[in-house]
Amino acid sequence: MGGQKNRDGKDKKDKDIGFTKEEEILLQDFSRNVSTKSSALFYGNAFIVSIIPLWLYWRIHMVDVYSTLIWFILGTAASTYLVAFAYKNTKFILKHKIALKREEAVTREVSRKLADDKKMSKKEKDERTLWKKNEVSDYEATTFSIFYNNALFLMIMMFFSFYLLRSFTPTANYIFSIGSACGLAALLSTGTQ
Amino acid sequence: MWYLIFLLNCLNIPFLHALLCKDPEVVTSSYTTQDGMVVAEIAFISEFSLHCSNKVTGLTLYGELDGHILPIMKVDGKTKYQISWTEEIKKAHSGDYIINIFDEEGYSNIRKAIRSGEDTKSVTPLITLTLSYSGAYLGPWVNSEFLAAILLISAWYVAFVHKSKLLS
Repeated sequence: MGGQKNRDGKDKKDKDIGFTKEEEILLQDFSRNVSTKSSALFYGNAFIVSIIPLWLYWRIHMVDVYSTLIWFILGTAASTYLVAFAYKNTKFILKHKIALKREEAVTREVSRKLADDKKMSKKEKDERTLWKKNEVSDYEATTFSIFYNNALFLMIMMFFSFYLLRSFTPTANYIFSIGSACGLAALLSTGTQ
Repeated sequence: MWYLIFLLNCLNIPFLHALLCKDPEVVTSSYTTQDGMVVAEIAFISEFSLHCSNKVTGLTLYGELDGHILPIMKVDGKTKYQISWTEEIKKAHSGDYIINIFDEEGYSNIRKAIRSGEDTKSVTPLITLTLSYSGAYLGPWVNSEFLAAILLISAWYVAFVHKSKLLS
């Protein structure tokens, strides 16, 4: 519903700048920008995954929360931003590839659904297929991006925290572990492979 | 002279009986280290009460374990004794520890046997104690952080393989 409303709203703009619906969907498909809904989802997830290590340092590393609070806040903020950045980049890379992989299946499904609708023109059907493909690839890329970056972030975090920086003081351990984990997740997301 | 000895014996003068304990009966209680995570050595303690039919108390006793002589402390100076020793965690084995308890005469015999390299089993102990050691807890087989690391690496590996498939 929301997607349809969005599309209708953008159709008005399309008329002003001269894009057809198909072109608009294609532009959206290749755009690096994410919708507000996606952005909220990314930042929400990034925040949750960034506060998980706090429990580890509080209960396992026995950090004094009050004296380390400022580092916890700064670390969580930086981590939320960088992990969300990694989500966006990974999603952008994956979306086109997923769209290509799912294209055939989506076309088949949409064609089967619209087969009985004789009134609909071929152009309209193609538009629907393109829109559905965009929706499917967007959803899959978003969820997979969250899963992949969460796994990467937590793995690096755990490795640095328990093995590489185990001799550091808990506060230094937290600062360097979370810095390395979110930094590496963001850095690796900028690659094309 | 013989009359004097007979008389003292009848009066139950301790020094005449001190060397001999007839029909010893023993009641033991023991302790071994249960948590081996924060210690370097395992402690073995055996406390026992020795009752002789001829009412001899305050004996000087010695213990022998695997060819080593161990001192035995008198707890209350009468019938209670305690023997203790420690062993490195790696060397401590679970199972029964047999401790031979000797009086002074037995002690000199066992010393002689050890010195001359004879079999210590040839010397009959006053009593034999058995201390059971079930083993100390040395922590989990797999550390929780190692397990967490393995799980996270596995999760990331699954994600990485899936991503590679999507990008191929």
